[in-house]
Amino acid sequence: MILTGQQRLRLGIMLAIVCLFFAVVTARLVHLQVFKHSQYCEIVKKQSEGTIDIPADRGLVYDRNGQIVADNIVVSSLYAYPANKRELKAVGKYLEQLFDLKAGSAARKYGLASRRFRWIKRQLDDAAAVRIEQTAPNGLYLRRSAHRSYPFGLIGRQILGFTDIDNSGQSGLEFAFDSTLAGRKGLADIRRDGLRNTFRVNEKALVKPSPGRSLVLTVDWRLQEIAEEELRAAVSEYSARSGMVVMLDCNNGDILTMAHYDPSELSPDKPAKLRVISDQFEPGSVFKAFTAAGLLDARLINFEDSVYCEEGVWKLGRRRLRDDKKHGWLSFREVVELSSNIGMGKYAVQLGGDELYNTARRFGMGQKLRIGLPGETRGRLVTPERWSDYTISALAMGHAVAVNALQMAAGFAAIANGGELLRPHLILGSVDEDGYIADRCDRESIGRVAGRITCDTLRSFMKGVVEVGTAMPVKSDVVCIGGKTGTAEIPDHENRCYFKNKFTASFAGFFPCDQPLIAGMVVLIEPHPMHYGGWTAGPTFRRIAERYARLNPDYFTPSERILVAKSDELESTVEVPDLVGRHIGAARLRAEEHDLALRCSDTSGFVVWQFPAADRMAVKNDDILVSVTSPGDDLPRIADLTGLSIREASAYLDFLRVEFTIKGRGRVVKQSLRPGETISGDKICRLTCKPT
Amino acid sequence: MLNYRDLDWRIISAALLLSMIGILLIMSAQHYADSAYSQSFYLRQSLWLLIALVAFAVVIHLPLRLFDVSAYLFFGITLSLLVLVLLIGSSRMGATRWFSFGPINLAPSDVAKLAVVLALSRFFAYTKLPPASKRRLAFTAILTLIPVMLILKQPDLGTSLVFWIILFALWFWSGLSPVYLILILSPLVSLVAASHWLAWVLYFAVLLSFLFLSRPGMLFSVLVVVTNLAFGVITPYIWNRMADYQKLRMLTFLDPGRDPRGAGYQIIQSKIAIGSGGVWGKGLLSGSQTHLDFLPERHTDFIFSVLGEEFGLWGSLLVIMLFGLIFYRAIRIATRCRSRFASNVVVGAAAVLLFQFFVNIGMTLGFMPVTGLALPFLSYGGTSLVLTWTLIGLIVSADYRWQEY
Repeated sequence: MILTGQQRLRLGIMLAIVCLFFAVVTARLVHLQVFKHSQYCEIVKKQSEGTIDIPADRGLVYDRNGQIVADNIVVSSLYAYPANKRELKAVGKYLEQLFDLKAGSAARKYGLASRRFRWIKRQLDDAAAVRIEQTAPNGLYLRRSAHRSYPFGLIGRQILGFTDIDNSGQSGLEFAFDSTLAGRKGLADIRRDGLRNTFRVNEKALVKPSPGRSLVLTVDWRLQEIAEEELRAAVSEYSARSGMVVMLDCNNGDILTMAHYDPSELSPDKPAKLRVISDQFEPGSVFKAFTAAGLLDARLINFEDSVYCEEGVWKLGRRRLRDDKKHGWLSFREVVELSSNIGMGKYAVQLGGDELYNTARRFGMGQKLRIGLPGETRGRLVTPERWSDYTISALAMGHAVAVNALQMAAGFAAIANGGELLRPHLILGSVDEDGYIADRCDRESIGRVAGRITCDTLRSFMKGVVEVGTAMPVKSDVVCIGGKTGTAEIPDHENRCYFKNKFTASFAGFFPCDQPLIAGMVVLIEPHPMHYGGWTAGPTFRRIAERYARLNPDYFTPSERILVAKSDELESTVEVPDLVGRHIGAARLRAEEHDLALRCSDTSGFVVWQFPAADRMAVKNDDILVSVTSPGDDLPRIADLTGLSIREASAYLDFLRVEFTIKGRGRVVKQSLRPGETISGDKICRLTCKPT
Repeated sequence: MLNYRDLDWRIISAALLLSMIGILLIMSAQHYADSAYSQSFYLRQSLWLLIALVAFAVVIHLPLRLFDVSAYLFFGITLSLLVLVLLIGSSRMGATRWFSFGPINLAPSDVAKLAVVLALSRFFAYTKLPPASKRRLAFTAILTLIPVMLILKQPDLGTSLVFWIILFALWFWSGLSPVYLILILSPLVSLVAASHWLAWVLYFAVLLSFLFLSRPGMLFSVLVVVTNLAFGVITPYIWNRMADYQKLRMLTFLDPGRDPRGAGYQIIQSKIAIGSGGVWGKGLLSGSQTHLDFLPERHTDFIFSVLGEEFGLWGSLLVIMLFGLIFYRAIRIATRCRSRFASNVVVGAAAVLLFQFFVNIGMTLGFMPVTGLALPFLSYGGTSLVLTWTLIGLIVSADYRWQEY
């Protein structure tokens, strides 16, 4: 074909068109791949790459015995997300089969539609989940998530708190220790594909999730169970509005149980607060234990003195202080045992506002104990600048002060352990990778609240409260309980006075008496008609103590009793009465009632120490060694020690802080300080012993 | 026997290279597919390439005259196939386009492209009518319209456009003045301009002044004005008669972002794939768009996106240059051939390939509507590959026998 001019033109046009096409395509390619490259890369990243959180296992919570009290369970939930009509059909058919529905009804029932997300069933059981996973058609999927479960149900839930649907702590321990328990979420690379599936690209996570640390609590869940059960029983038995209980190990501050019960509480599975640490109340007479400690520490008490209790009504300025029962002259011990407001008020006035205030501060009133749970209150203790005598008396008997139950229990624990206020703690430690307890929470002393002797004395008083005082129903055959009752009128804030018929009944105490292990408090709010602490909160305390003691026979069975009471002597043994705080004359009488003799050089004064201690067993006609206050020259006189065992004699001399040496073995035959001789700091008593 | 040294090895090697690149891309595109069947697409394509090469060999060995003589017969057979496929063809996705022989699907519309190229080439080679004669224009238009109508019935709008391109290319190549071509195409512009009255008025002013200046004859001028008026008026009507997917395609073509999860999805994802490929590409089997199922139809219509993503600008330009080489050679051959028929066949074949190339790549690059036209050589599809190689065979054969009348 020979090209004419016109054909050349056509050729040119055709080449031009082809070149134009190529130019357009090339320009577009360069535009997309060079200039907009980074922009499209961004889009690719956004639509196909991403990270997902890998949830970390939440730490478990153990009680002090290693029981798991907060656990994790994996829950599967079924959802439908059919991609198209075909999947939709398959899903519908499968669901009808699975749940035995009428043919064709599943789509309507679950509102299925293609490309729409629908939950079918949340929280499937494991077997169903496995079966569904193996047989489900495309468009039907399972989502797994970990949830908190509490094997003990509602028991101790107030301490543990709860977690929300995202597994983050909302109250209680779960909230306070959320960062510890939650661990750190991991990250994983994922790819999302065009069919909206996501999948992990790497088996290895970008950031490994680090599981939360498990915590070990000081709480004994057996005791928690007992306490909650008894508390519930008490609230219904005494028709109380609500109640609280808290118990601590008095030697190291471990919180063994904390609970409240209020039948009107709305959702006990989602407790907002733990009333033991958050609710404040006027403690009433239980507070007298602290007042008494202050008085004893200030050495204002002469055991032989008595105080006149005004036959029930004491005019103090324009106001009157009343006792529940009319009392005449009472010794200090009796003031405590019988809980005389007037007697305690009179003593407290002697002590003065400042000193009383300091005592209360030392016992931790008005200060947070900071156990680490949310919602803890500090209580309320006003400064003594403008206190009248009436205010002092009121404080002495536990009014005009607001406390929470834990503060009171901690104070009693201090008395029980010999005067050291320990910070109560809830966390024993956390569990490290190897399963050992790490970060063990140490015993932490806040300060000294009273002298050791004061505490010994107080303990013996409080044992008296149970034996002969206001808390007789607390006396137990199983375990020896000491404590103080409280029956406080509830303040009426509207009318700035007290309700005449609403009471807070409480009992704070410890057990076993001679070597206390556990201190605690039971509070019942508005019990009626019986409203005395000794008759409501007290027996509740006793029941809890008894049940716990039975659970732990090793700790609570008084071993000495078994040691001393040999089989052939069983008939001739007697229980040693508690003589501390009694006048020597009264003490001698009580000893004789128990077929025992008193060994003492003094004829007057009050017993401050005795050996053997109360509750031990002694052979009939044995001697009880006592030490008494010596009113005259303030120096005690030494008793006749001959015939005593080395153990008895050394305990006695120890108590009097007399240095001594011992020669020989067996029983004392000679003492270098004559009986009745006064004891001063530098005297040394040499004892000569011989075996009998 | 052929003297193989005289064959145009540039076209053959370019075509072969493109076919192999196509197989490689199909393999990559379906490498992570769910079914083994999809994963084996590249093997099937390799097999089809062998068949296509056999077809190619047959074509270059046959004398061109045979095609010339049998062109109308072939056209007639093809028409009956097109009718047959409407009656007994297998349907997929609402279209009846294929004869199914077990696993093999044959699309007669591909064969029809070849038939129309041959028939029109024969007509234009021997007609004595002047290029602008109404009878010549009308006859060829009707010749093209018959297969177009049958294919529109399938329905397959994209493929039917190919036939018009063949017609226009051969009209042009056989001497029709560009003025007539412009005027014939003007109703399409009217169609678009009718979307706004002001645009339409302006367009008509331009059209009338063009008619006045070029004076193509009274009857033709009246026809042009009437069709333009008619197209302008019936635009809304056509729009309302269009199937939803066609409307969507139009709208999506105009603005791919209007429904990113729906109809515009394919175009957007394709642009993202190509754009993110950059200059050097992500490497074979590393295209995230391709392998994460973002790219639709990635082994067929959107194969060029896979290329753009995995081999970047250089890979795309390489493929474009190979196509460019083929077209350049084709035009050179068309001008060299002494046989009018051979020259027409080359131009027709090149027009088919160029149109499909341009529309398909334009679609993946986002400046052409989604038509479903395959990319020659690269897209997966047996009949398409065989047809492409047959067309190449005709071009090579025309070149080899350029001296024949």
